[in-house]
Formats: sequence, C-alpha cells, structure tokens
Amino acid sequence: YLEDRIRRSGSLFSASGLCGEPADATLASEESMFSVGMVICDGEGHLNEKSILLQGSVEHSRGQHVRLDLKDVDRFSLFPGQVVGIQGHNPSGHCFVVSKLNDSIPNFVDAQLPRAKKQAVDSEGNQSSDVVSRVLSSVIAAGPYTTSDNLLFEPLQELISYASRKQPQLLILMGPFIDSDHPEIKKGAVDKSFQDIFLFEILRKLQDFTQYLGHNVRVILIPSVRDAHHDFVFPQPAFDLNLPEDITHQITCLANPSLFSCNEIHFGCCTMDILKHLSGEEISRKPPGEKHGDRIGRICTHILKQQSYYPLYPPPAGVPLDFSLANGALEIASAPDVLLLPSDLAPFVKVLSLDESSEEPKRFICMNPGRLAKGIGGGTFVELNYNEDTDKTSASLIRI
Amino acid sequence: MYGVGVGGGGGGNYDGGGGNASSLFGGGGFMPSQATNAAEGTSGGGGGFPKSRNAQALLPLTVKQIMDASQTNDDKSNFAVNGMEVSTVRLVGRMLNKLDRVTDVSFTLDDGTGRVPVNRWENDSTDTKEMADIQNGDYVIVNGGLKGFQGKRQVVAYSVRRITNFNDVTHHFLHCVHVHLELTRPKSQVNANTATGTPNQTMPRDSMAYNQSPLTNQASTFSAPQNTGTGTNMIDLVLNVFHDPAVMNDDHGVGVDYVSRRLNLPEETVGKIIIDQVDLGHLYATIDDHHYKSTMNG
Repeated sequence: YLEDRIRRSGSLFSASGLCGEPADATLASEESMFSVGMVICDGEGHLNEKSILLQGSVEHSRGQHVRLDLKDVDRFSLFPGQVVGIQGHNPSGHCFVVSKLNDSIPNFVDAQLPRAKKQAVDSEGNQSSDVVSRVLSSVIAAGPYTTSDNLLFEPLQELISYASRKQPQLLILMGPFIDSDHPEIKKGAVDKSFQDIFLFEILRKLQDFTQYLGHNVRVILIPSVRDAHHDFVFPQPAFDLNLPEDITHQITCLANPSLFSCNEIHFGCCTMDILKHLSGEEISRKPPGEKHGDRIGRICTHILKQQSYYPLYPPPAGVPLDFSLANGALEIASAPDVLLLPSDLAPFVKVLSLDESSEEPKRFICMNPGRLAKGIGGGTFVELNYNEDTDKTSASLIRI
Repeated sequence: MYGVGVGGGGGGNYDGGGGNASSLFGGGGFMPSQATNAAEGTSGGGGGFPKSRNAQALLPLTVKQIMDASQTNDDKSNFAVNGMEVSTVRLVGRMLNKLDRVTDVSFTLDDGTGRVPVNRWENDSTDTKEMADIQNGDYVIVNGGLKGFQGKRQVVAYSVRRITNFNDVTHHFLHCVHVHLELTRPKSQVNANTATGTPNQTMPRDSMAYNQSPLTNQASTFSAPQNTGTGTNMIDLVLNVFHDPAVMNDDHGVGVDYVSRRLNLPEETVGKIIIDQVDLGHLYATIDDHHYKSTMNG
C-alpha cells in the first residue's frame, strides 16, 4: 500500500507537467533534481527538523531513504507518512538539500486528462448540477451518544428532538454508538448484548424519528472503531442491519471512511480521529515574523492534499489499520464539498481552500462536530444548511 | 602524547574524553584526547592514566597503518605507530567473510587501505546479539586490541557496531589524519621563565570537539511542539506538564488548577495558554471543558 502510494503520487506529479520525472534522491548529485517519497522519522520518537528522512519508491530509489535538510525552505508542514515532491540536490549522497517542497499531490483529473477533455468533464458536471439544486439542510453529530454515568442515551434523545423540530433533509450520525470507552461497557456491567443495546436504544429511536418525519428525511449511520458491537478494524465495513423494508431507503449504513453525495453535494467522512493523531505528529516552520496560521485548518487540508483519509504512517498504538483493506478504501478520489472529521479536538466548522496560489482555489467545508456527550455532560453537534456553494452556506455549532 | 579520558572525566595532564563518546561512536566509550604539558609528569587527576599506560590509548587507525606498524623491541606482540606504542585501536570499514563459531566470530575488515582479520569473542548473550545484527557488507566500527601472532597481525575486538550514519566513516578517516598529524608534528619548544628553567613542552590543544551532540538527532519524546509563538518558555513549561508520562497515562487528563499548582503560575495565565493550545490543536478537552490532555498521546 505504501509503495503504491509513493509510486502513484510520483506518476501524478510527473503527469501534472509541473515537475519532471522523479529521480533517485539517494544518489549523490550536484545538479538539481526532483524526487517523490514519503516522510519518515529516523527513530521512534516524534518527528523534528533534524530527524526527517525521505523514503523513496522501490522503482526509483530501491526503497532507500535519505536525510532531508530543510534549511533553505522557509515554510513547511510535515508529518510521518506524508508523500511529498521535493526539488533540490544531494551533494554527498547522504543528505538531500531541499530547495522547494510540494506537499500537495496533483489531482487525478487535472493530471491525467488533456485540457479539452478536462473542460468537457467540467461542463458535464456543471450541466448535471443544474438539474438538481445543490441545496441541503442537515444535522451532523458524532458519538458517544450517552453520558459516562449511564446508558440511557439522553443526549441522543435531545438531538432527535432538535432534529424533529428543525426537520432537516439529512441526519448524519457518526460512531461510536456503543462506546467501548464507556465505563459500564468497559466493565462489562450490562445485562444486554452490545448489539441489543444498539438495536433497542439507538435504532428504535431512529426508526421512530423517520416515521415521524416521513419520506423527507434520510439518516446515515457511519461506524467508529470505538464501537463495541462492530468490527475493530480500519477501514471499517458498514453496519449490517436487517431493517424493515419500509425504512431501508431512509436509514443508510456506510463504511468508515466513506464518500457519499446527497443533492449533488459530496460528503467525505472518516470517524477515525485523524485530526488528533496528525496534530500530535505534525511539525511546521513559518517565515520569521509571520503570525500563527490556522494550524487545525492546515491539518485538515493535508488530508485532501494527500488524497487519503489516513495519511499518517506509522499509526499510533491502538489504531487497527489494515493495509490489505486500505488501497481503495482510504483513497480520496475527488475532493468533497464537505469533509466530516469527528475528533476529540475542539469542535469547529471551517471553509478551507486547497491551493491558495491558484486563481480559483477549490474551496470546501471541513468540520468537527465534536462529541454529542462529553463525560457526564452534553457536548456539541452541527447544523449545516448547504446552499449551492460555500459562500451562501450557513453552519452552526450547537451545544446541548 | 595521547591520554585516555573515560566519558568526560579528566584534568591535569590528561584531558578527559568526550562525554558523548558512546553516542558518537558507540561501544567502547573511551575517547582519545590530547594531553597538554606532556613533560610535566603524571600527577593529573580525573580520567587520565599514568604515562606508563599510554599504550592503552585508543587510537583511530587505518588498516595500512596497522600493517606498516613497527614491532617494539621489548615485546614482539607490541606495535608502534608514529613512534607511539599502541595496543588498542579503532578501525572503520566493511565486514567481509564473516564466520560464526560457537564461542567467537571472525571476519575480515576492509577499510579501503587494506584488510585485517578481526576476532570477536562472545562472552555473553549481548555479545552474541551484537554480532548477529551485523552482516557481510555492513560498515562497522571496531574497537579492539592489536595483536601479533606467528608474524600475522590481527585485531581482537571488544566492540563491533554497525554504522547507521555514514558521517561516522568520514569522521573516522578525518580523525585518523588529525591524530597522525598531531603525532608526527615537531613539538615546539617554549622556554618558560620558571625558577627551574625547565622548558615546558607544549602542544596545541586538540581542536576537535568531542562533545558533539548525538548523531541520531532524535528529539526527546516529550519535546514541546514547534512554532509555539511568543512567550515560548511559559508555553513550553505548560506543555511539558501535559507531556509528563503520568499525565499522559491519565485518561481524564488534568485541569488548569493542577498545572497552575505544579508550575506555581497564576491560574489565569495558565488558563489562557491552555485555551490557545487547544485552539492550535496541541491540547484537547477530555471528560469536560476543564480537563485536558496532549495530542502527543496519539
């Protein structure tokens, strides 16, 4: 999987025409060259400016790594597992002196299609978007859905009451539903199976909600690796629910991570806490005197720039990342309009752009709705009213 | 003349070797360091050995220097390089023809100037593990004793370490050149106006910095995140509390009051720093909005 990522990124970089064919960064050369590889750390601690290595592909560098010297780069943001394109030279063969660093893998469509074809694809997209108006009201929440002192799921009930009043077209609920970190679940002090708790305490409430609102509402359920009643693996399959036929079209279960669209609005979602994991590993440099940028926003854009829901490698202990499942599942083929990244970090809704330097940067909404329950108290969720594009869209972060 | 300092001790006539000897070269831990005022006897304290033991100095050499070394008259097993008696050497080169036996491992070391047989006796499991990790073709640093047996020269190694940072190779050969020049340079005579009128023999102080930082460049596991802006010292202090293993292992994290008490700083100041770090994503709230943990936990 990792080798595939490096190799695919290398071909996208060269196909984009922005840089030449990737060379072997480990070979000594006084001439400037372009190379593609994965950022790794030279030891077991956290990455720092002196411990950055670049692991090349088997094809170009025989899988060898070389130390990176970033003294000439005034701005960077790096983390282990990140695939980057670097321009520079390697005078000694032991250390690559970087003059330019590109951490954004070129888009597949941009790279692979001729200009005429690309315009045709764009105009096709524009025509189809005229048919369905890109307007959507939604309520978005992430678990846990019950406070840590009981399993009564009162915060979930509050959320459903709010949604019943607001009547959104879409209710997105992300795991954990039966939180394996909940004290009572941890202790095993429950007299029902985890699956039964899910069916009776959560699914039944959702069925009542869909019946109350009728066919105007869709509910989407996305699991988390913290779900005690589901497979502890990432990427993670969707819940396997045997729902009554009359509501199967209203309650949809999706995999984690997943990309889905509603009213031509594309949503990307990953319930693994990649923001927290990246935040703990990312290092950055900015030109002296420059004010702090939006660090969380920068971390969010890494996910789309890397075209992967989980670009961090190696993952922290406790993350059940299975590379045999990762190839298609973790890939972000096209940038979504809304990126949902539930996290323990502070909740936010941000409008971000992928490429600041281009005339019309691709803008997207990224949000962390927070946790619906936090300890023994309520948490937060998001109400999103999407309207054509990011400029007319409104979103509110709501505390219960 | 070269004295030996053990891990940064030394004083008097014999400067102690670098405190980072083991991190810079691995194994051994003895660093050659140039003696000053060599003619003044052996009264120096610290890490130095007496003059009669100067053959124990660990000399960086090339294989060619070993092969060209003259045998001293008094003992056929002792050698002299540049007129200095030598028994303990450091070599750097590629391991070839490795042969594992029950009690020892033998191999040939090729450093580009020649080849020399090396023998490493395996006294315990750590020795065995050290040798098992190294394969033919690997660059190694060998510290050991120089022995002559039946007219052949060989090294009996007490430390063999695989090189992971190839600066070590360059460093070794520069070190060999440096030591060779120091040993062959004519000693400048300086007449000191002392009562005895004894000339003080002086040598320029060793210009090589042995106390270099370790080559791995690894930051401490609990180093504070980069780019923390103004008032960095206070921010680092606060973040270091959250990077304390005891705090990191606590699922609930800690509150502002705990950090404030521990650092003896006002709660208001600590609270503001914590809020800023939450916004930056270095910290996050746990069971409520008053308990926090570091994202470095993963």
